[in-house]
Amino acid sequence: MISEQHEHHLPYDPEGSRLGMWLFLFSELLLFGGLFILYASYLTKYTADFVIAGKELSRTIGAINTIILLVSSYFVAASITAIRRNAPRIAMLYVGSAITLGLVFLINKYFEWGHKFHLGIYPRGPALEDRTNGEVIFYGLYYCVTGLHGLHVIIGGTLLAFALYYIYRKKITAERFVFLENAGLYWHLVDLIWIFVFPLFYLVV
Amino acid sequence: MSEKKLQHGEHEHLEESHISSYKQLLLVLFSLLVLTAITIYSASFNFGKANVWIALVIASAKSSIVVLYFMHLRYEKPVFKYMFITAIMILAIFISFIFWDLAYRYK
Repeated sequence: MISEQHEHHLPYDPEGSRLGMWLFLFSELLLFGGLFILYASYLTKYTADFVIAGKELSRTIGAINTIILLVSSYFVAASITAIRRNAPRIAMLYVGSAITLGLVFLINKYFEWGHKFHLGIYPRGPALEDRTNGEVIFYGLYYCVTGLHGLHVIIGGTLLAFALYYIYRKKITAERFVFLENAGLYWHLVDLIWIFVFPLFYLVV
Repeated sequence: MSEKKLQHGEHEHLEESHISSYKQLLLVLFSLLVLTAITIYSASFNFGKANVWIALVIASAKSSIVVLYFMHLRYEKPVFKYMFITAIMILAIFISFIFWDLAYRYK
């Protein structure tokens, strides 16, 4: 199993690479875990305020973005199946679709945030001045969590764009596809976090 | 060919070369969309404090599906699974201690 391509000096160890990626994802889990703990502890203190503020978020956009991320996650998983079945063109199509959906997600987010900014609802914004502490905290958490999540969407999309390029350059093939797998793992994490963000922020009853 | 591979142990062979079929992945996507619909529907009722727990249970089910099938954890070697469980347990300890504290704080 010795690689005949001399350009790769490091031994190719896909399992080790995936293990490293998972370890990194655990640290991400703890990062978001901390924010969810903040959410949970403030929810117990300001339940009524959280309900009032949460109702102002658009459930429709939240639901659409949930579906977008789930479908894009499917595309990424399907791209791995395609590349392993030696169909790089189909794999590129899937990865490209996932990136496109990621962009649509960000555009939705842009309009969502833009609308709230327009209404003066942002940290230290005029509309939040005479709101209760609980509502101010809810929006603070909303911007922190969705902002950090949005950053992850941008990073994940960039990784997928690299994967797309590598498939095109035949650096990702049916035999060597761990980069696509790891980019995919990251993308699924983004989806995973949104699975919790959506009900906690958009669907508070 | 299959006989030769079976000699190495069928299980090992499965773990190393499992490719998720498009059909399986589509089924996973479908179940995730159904669970999303249930989440949204359940939020139209007011169960009081139970609402957030219902949402969390469904979200946990959804994330388990994502981790097992999309992230392929089900077909990874045991070391991946042990690592994952360890990470989740650390998070659970972290969260439960905070709630232990919170339970006595706002009284």
